[in-house]
Amino acid sequence: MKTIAVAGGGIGGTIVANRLCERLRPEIEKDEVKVAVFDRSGQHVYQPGQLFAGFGLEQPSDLVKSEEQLLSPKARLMQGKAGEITKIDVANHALNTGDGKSHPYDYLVMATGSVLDWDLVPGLKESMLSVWDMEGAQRHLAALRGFQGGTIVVNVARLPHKCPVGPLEETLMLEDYLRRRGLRDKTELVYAYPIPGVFGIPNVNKVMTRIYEERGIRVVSPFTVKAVDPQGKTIESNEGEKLKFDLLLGVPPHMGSKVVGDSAVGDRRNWVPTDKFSLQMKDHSDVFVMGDTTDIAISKAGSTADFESYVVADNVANGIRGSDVRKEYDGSVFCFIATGMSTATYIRFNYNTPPVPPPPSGVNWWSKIAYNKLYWSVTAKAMV
Amino acid sequence: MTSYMTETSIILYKTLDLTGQSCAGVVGELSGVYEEMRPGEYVDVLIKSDSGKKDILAWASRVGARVREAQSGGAAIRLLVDRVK
Repeated sequence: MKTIAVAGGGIGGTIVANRLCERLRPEIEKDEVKVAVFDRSGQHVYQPGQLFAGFGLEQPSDLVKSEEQLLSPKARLMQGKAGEITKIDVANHALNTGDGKSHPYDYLVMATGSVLDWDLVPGLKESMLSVWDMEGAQRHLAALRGFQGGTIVVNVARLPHKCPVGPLEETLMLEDYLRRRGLRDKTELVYAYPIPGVFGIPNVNKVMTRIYEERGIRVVSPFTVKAVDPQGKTIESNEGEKLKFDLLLGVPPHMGSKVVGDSAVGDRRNWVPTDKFSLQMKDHSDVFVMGDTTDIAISKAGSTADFESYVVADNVANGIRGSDVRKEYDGSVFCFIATGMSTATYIRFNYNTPPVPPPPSGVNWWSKIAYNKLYWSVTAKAMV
Repeated sequence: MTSYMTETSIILYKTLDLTGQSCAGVVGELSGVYEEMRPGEYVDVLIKSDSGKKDILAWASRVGARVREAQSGGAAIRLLVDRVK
C-alpha cells in the first residue's frame, strides 16, 4: 500500500486530493494506494468570498462547508487531533499528529497555506479591519454601514500576500459603494501600497492607476507601514509618511503556517523552498508543495493552487505507477478583479506571458460571481 | 560568485528567481525577502528585463541595499543584493 499524505484541507489540499482520487481510482479501489488529508478544523472556508462578505454581498455562513462534504469518499479525512500536524518530518518521510501518532508517507503534498502575521506591525491589529479573515470581514461590513464620511486608508502592509488583486478590488468596490450611498463627496479615499504604483505587474498597474485617477483615489506609494497609532488614528511608513485615517482597511502581513517553522522546512517567513516548474520541495523529490505554501515568486491565489493541482496530481500518480512522465507548472494564474459593485475585469497570465486586462464590464462581474458559486460543486471537487 | 563571497564574507540567504510574472512584481517579491535577511547576507536575484533592474536599483537606493551585477550564464540578468544594515 502506497500512502499519499496531503497536509492541509484548504483550497489547494482539497482540490489536489480530489484530483488524486480520480487519477488513482483503480489503485485506491484495489487498496494499493491511500490518499489521506490532514486538516485539524475539518471546516473548509472559501476565502476569496470574504471580500464580498465584507460588503454584505455574501453571507459568511455560505462561505464555509465541512471538508467531508467536499472531499472524495475515496480520500480519508483526518481531523481534530488526528488531523493536527505537529511536525512535517521530511527526513523520515512522516507526518506527526496531535494524537501522538506518526504517519509514514510515500508522497507528501504540502498545502498548509498562509497565516496573518499581525504582530509584525505595532498597532495594526487594533486598527485595521481586514477581509483577509472571516471575523474581520464581518467587522468590515459593520464599519462600512456605520461610516458617514471622513478619510479611509486602504493599506497593504507587506508583499507577498494572499489574493494579490484583493486590495485593488476592495478599494474600487469601496469607491463605488460610497458613491451609491451618497458619501463619496464626504470621503477621501487613500491607497497606501508598499511598492511604487498600485500593483506589481506593469500592464495591470498601468490600467489600474488610470482607473484610480478617474475615480479620484489618492495613491501613496511606496508606503511600507512601520506602525499604527490606534488612539491617534495615524499610520506611519518606513519611508517617513504619516497618514491620518477615520477607517483603516487592508491587508496584514502574511507568512507560511506555523508547522512549517516548527518543522524547520521553510525559510524565515515559513515559505517552503519549491522548484517553480516541478513543484517539488527542493532536495526532497517525494514532497510536492502548492498554493500559498511555496516560496515561488507567483501569486498566492486559489487559482494558482488549482492550476498547480493538475501538475502535482499527475506527477504523483505517474510516480506511483512507475512512469517517468512529468508535467511542469507554467506559472498559470487567473483572477477576476472587481472594479466596482457591478463591474469587473480579469487577468490571466503565466511565467512568460504577462496579463492584459480587458475593459471592465458587467459580464465579467457576473462571471466572477458565477465562478465563486461554482467553486463548491465544480472547482473544489476537481470536476474539471 | 565564489570570489565575490570570499572577498566580502557575505552569506547567501537565498536565490530568488524573478524571471516570471508575479503579482507582487520584482520589487514586491524582493522587498519581502529583504526584510527577512540579516545584515551580512545577500540574495541572488535573477530577473529578465532592464526595466526590472532599474526598478530594483531605485528600490535599493531607497532602502540602503547594495546591488552588484554578476554573470548569470544565461539570458537572465543576475543581481546580488546585500543587506548591509
